[in-house]
Amino acid sequence: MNEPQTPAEASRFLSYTLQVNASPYGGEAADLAYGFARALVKKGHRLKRVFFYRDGVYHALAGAMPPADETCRIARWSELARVHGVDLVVCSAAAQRRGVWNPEAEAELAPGFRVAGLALLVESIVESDRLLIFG
Amino acid sequence: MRCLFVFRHSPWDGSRGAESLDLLLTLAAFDQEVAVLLLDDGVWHLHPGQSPGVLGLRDLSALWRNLPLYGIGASPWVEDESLRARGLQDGDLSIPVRRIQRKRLVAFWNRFDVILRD
Repeated sequence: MNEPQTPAEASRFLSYTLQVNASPYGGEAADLAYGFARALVKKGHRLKRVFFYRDGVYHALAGAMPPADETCRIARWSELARVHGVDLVVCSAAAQRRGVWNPEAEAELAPGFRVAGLALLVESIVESDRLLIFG
Repeated sequence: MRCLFVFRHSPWDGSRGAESLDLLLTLAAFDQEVAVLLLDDGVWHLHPGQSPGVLGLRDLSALWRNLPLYGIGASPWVEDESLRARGLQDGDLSIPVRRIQRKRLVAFWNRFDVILRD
């Protein structure tokens, strides 16, 4: 967890929302998003939410098993959520479109991910100091 | 919050256009002040007479025509150079637009609190 901060210390940091549009294995953008998110929490900045949209919703697929000598691009986000309490949100419409989530089948998402609508992204953007879009 | 939503991709680029419009309309539905800028192939969104159904894509043209109904009353901005490079004029487009020159874009960005894109 982050070190506790006094209000004066906390005010030195900005709050961030990250929008991840890139699929986990499609290129550099998803790696940059993860690296940026990890750097934010390690430095004590406020990462309000990571919102996975468009092909970014593939990050929430459960059961990914890449070869042992390769970093799992899904598990590392789950780990970030578990250790630092980062809110990982997958867009419901985009996830349904791609079969990542189905409200009727109760399909399981990767650990640490939850489903919500675009309204939550808008709320996040309004309440954060910065929005960064990856992919 | 003053938002700018930039479209740079053509309307036949998979579900990109539909999902970007969904986000644009959600911003407007939550009373955010949103301006729209069409750059590069994004200008094709306003080219009339397309048949997206042939490609299995949703027809977005009605959404574009009805932006005022969704709370986006001001006409979209369209970059001059992007139109010209594609042999288009603003009279060719499906709705009224405001034109902006590329050299003015940097100053233009600074009017907004947040910039989103397709």
